[in-house]
Amino acid sequence: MPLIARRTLSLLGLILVLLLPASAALAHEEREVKLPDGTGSVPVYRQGEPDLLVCKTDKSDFQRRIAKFPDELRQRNLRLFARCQKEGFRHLQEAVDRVDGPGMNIAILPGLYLEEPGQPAPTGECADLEARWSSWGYQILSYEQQVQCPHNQNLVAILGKKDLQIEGTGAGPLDVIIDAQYRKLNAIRADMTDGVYFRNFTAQRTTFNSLYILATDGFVIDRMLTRWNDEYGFLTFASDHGLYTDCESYGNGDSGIYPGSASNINDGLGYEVPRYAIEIRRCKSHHNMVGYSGTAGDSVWVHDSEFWGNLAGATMDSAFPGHPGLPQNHAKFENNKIYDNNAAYYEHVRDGTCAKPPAERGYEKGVVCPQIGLPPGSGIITAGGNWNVFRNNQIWGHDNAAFNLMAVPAFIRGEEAWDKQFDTSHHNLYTGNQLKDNGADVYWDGQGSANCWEGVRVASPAALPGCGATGPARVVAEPVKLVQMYLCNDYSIGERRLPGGCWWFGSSGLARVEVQLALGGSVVLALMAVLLWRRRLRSRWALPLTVVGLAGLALDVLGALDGYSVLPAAALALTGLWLLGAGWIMRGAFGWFTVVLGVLHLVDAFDRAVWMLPLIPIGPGWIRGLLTGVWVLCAVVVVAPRRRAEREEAAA
Amino acid sequence: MRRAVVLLACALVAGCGPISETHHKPGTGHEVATGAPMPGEPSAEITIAGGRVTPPPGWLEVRRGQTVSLTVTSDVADELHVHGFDIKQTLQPGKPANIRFKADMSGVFEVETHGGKLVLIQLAVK
Repeated sequence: MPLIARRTLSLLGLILVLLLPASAALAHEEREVKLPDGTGSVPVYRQGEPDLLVCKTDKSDFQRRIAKFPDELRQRNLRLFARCQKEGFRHLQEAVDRVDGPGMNIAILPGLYLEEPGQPAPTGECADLEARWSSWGYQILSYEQQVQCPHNQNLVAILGKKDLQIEGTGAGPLDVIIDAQYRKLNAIRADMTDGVYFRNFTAQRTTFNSLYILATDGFVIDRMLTRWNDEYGFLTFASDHGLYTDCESYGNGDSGIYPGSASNINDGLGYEVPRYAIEIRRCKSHHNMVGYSGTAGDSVWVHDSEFWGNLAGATMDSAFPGHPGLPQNHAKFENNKIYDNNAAYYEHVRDGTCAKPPAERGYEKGVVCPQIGLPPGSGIITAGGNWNVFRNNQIWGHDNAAFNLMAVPAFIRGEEAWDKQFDTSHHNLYTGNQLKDNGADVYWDGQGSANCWEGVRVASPAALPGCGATGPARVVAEPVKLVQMYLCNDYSIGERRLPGGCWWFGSSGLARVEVQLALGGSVVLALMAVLLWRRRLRSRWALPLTVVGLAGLALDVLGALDGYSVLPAAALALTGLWLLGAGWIMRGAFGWFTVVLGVLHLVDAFDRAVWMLPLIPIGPGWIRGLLTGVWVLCAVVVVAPRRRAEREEAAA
Repeated sequence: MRRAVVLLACALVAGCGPISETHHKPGTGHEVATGAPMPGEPSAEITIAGGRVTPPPGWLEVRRGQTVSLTVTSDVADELHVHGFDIKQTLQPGKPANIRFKADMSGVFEVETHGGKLVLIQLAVK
């Protein structure tokens, strides 16, 4: 294709994608951080006696807590309790502050830790720090400011400690609880803490994240539980050599597990990579907005985990600025169970529950306040990602689709170079997955190249590219899907704005924007069809052709109600036959124009239902839609009543 | 110029402003937090089906001395146990079981099923 033509199309595409609002994302704001240099390693659990102990003083309460422990564990806890009464600390922060070298172990004994010294709001200089306020309602503090005022935002702050291990000594994570009571952004912040190892306790109830690991090369989250946060259960950001294992998270307004800006170590490589930056295994994330999210979740290997009961199972995206490693690439989801993610959490926004202060919303009773607009009932959503592999997962019970793939232009993430605007949604591989009892297997907006699916039966578009074959490479999504995205992404939890017309938030039938678009278009074309039949078509085929056309237009409306059926393609085919036949009968300039439009309808139907055409940079739907608009204008002139003199002249 | 055009188009058409103001609005800010238990009798309704707890294992804040009401419906026969207070209640399939008791000890107490070994809720008595 000539350069100028490609540039024109690119410009067209960019203008169209500009229609997308910038809200299809999951993310947070943080100081500017660089990805680690990758020289660290995943820390190994140390079994030795702890260096520092944390416990409470109420012995009868402690004995009640450990009463059901296995004997050996109970005896160990009794020994540690006795030692802790002599030399231990009453708050985790006090023990962290005593860490004076790498490789130390802190043990937290069973109990509820409210960390009272860290609770108060900042005073003095800490109340007046010079730092930018984020749109999310908090200050973006530098590392030095975090050190200066560790409890401005954090109940427990672990800053700059190396190879630190913190372990709960209970029988399970619920035996040791760090409870922020919605007083701080983070229950625990581990910032620049290479080699940190968290094991066997719970952190809960924050206005952002329970456990936040930042700018760290080497960490483990082992048998940890996080729950009831405005945003994330586990947030690990700009980190490398990470391992989440046997963890659980629930009740979060964004995701349970968020490995954002994982080190971008495989950029430029294909599917085969030497290693992953973060591994997530045997974790459970449920009853959140999404089980997993990954803005710039690069080189993350998620396997043998379960995501259920969320609004959507998992997402990864390139839709936020300020995240190192964009566009997102090289996540691998393998051998996971992703099921029944259909939660109707937008109801809590609609009824005002989410407008209450966090502590009054009822997170602990199952309320989730979704921070972002997403299509509920989706298994895995990829909004702007490349080289992701989804292999051998079991995905079932979703009302919408098992997989959802959409492109996101680069300006959304703050990059304006022309050549980057179409750099997402390429080389995503879906293979070997077991898909069962989902509304559909795949929803794809149609943009991107070298994406491929295997084992798919029900999808939109119906004719998805298989793996190993030449597939489409389009620079812009299907028009109706783009409009739908534009509308739906106007969601705002803060303003209790649930866009009308978007099915994500409960609109159905004629209230849905795609149905309204189809109905409007069909009514106009149906009117033209009837007028052409009455005034311009002189053939015995005129009536049958018009009936075929009207049937097609009716099917188009029905197809908009169920985009995963064959109806949209069938509607296009019938409408195309009508236009083809009517144009042939009419001949002349308008007739041949009608023939061309009919052929475009048939090509579009073929593209949707049989084989997505390679090489063309935009889908036939775009050309068909634009030409249909022009055709309607021409048709109005053609079918307009003529004056008597003209008719007599014509008759003569 | 190109940057200006993109930004202008972005601002006019797409609204590339803050993604969310959830935490910036009165009543939803990070600075707003209340930790006090809700007034009235603390209560929870819990369902067990297919080995899953709904809502997921919760947290009920209780003032010491308050009466707590728990209603549990299980799809299988089991036994309910309130740790610390050592209250037990038989669960019959499909039949809601209600227990009410005075929380006269401080601490965090798990309510669990003995058969399914499921944690249903934690009572935080202060």
